[in-house]
Amino acid sequence: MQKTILTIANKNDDFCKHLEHAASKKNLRTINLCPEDFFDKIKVEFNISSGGSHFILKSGKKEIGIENVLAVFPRITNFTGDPKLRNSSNHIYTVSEWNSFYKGWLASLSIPVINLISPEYWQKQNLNPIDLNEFSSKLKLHIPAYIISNDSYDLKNFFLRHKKNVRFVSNSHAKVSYKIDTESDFKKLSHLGKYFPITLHQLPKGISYEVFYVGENTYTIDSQGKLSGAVPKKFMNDIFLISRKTGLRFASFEVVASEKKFFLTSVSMYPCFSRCSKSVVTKILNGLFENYLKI
Amino acid sequence: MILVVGTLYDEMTELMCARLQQLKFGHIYVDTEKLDLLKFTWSTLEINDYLKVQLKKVYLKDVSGIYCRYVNLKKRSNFPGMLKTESGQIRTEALSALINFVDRSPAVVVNKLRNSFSNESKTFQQITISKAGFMTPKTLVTNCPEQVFEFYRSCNNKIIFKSNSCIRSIVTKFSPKHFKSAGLIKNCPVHFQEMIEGTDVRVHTIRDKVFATAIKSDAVDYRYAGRYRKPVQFCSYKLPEEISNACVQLTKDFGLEISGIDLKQTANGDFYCFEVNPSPGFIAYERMTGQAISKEVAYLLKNDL
Repeated sequence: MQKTILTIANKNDDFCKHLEHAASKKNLRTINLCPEDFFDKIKVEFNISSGGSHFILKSGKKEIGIENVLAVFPRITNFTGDPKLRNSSNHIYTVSEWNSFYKGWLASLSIPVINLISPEYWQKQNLNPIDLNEFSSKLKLHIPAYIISNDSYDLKNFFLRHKKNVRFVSNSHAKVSYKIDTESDFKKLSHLGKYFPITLHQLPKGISYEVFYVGENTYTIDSQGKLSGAVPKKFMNDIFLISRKTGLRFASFEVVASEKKFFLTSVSMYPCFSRCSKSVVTKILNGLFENYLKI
Repeated sequence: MILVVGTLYDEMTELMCARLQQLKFGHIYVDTEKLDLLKFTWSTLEINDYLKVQLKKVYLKDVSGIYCRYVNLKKRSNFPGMLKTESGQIRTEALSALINFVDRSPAVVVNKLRNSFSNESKTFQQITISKAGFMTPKTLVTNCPEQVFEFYRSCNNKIIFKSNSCIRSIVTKFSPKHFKSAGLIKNCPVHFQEMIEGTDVRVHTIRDKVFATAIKSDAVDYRYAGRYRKPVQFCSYKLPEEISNACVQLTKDFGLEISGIDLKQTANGDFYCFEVNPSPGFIAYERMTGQAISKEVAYLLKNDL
């Protein structure tokens, strides 16, 4: 039986396409399970006891047992639900049960799961300055400042202190964020403080780099998508530390080199290759294969 | 100063406010139903960070402990001139901001929401519990009816089923009357477990302190004994030291300050562990046994333990 890499991702996930291509060159099969598959096609048998666990997933005629899988790449944090059930009273319950199965199943696997994220971060896709601040005392990289407040005086003070260059970030919807760099934008935003506390992050000015973490290796990419040595090696220990603490085996770190300091502004727990050149993608994927699949 | 974050519609929040009042421990109640009354600043500047509810103000550096219960019990009205969805979004954003602060506070937090997510998956917890050395029952999570029948036979026709997530369900014994409806699980995996016979023991840990309660009941799920007209009796119980220590360690492993752990002791003295609850509702156990659980939590919040 051909060895398999299992990915769990949305259909158009770019990373999975690259992975599939690279795996085929190494005579490996990739199977992607979409969230919709779980609600429709997949039969699960997941046994667990004090002695260990085993699982079988059946999708149509395909049967995937643990013995043929080399590694699993989960690329989604949570299933959002079966569209057919969205308006039914069972929706919340079924989504919750599928997610619960998913988390337990991933944790039970004895093969590499990239990434097996610690429960504290189950609800997140990216780590922002608020999440990263807990590591700050141990890091050489600087973490941007932030404020959560509905006090207009304190918000204004923060805005001015950071030279009118901040980012508004929603606390409940990670993807909602706006750059605030004019007085008029700030004024509009601060009105919302009547309704809920506003979160602002400092936006460091400088050149942005993306550092990919793969096992003990890191690859720094510049804005042209090429490998770069601009982020000094002394900062790589910070990247190892955060990865270890959060359960990340593969992640990308956004580092901004300002005039005097290097800032770590965010960490993506589901990295994509949109900024990378073809040769860099190949290098990173080879790094993944060597580090985690030993091939 | 202690913060109590929750709603008085929740009896645990009410109990903790009453206990802090009785002990004369200074506290501010942050009503999660009225977050529009809350004013606060939390920042990396840290100099004047504060929280204010109406006339009560506290500097965040003076907060020794935070007790929080995020429960959603009340039907809410809309903000004036706003749609239901807009009002809901505003409440979610305000509550998320507060949770962000509470979860990262250096004070004692009972319990941080971020450390409570493991409870979203009983199977995830079971793996951690098993690694901690506790016995755990044989378990099958499946959406294949035929697998259920096989599991049923392999467990001598004695299995139960319940939710796998943190959504509450009534633990029910699987019996031939369920055979027909087993086909329904095709839409959603269900958590089946071998039925462990014995005495239920609920353990509440508060840092190194342990309060155990034995529950005597014929009901499969003693929490719903009344519904099935079955008697239930709670009494304080002394755990063997190694089990008591293991419960304390397990709570620490999950990053929790307090927990409610569900155990079952079999006739031959083995302890099985089922679940670690990060937001335990201990009011019934305290009332039925007289154990000073809320008092101990209050001292923890005052940072006196």
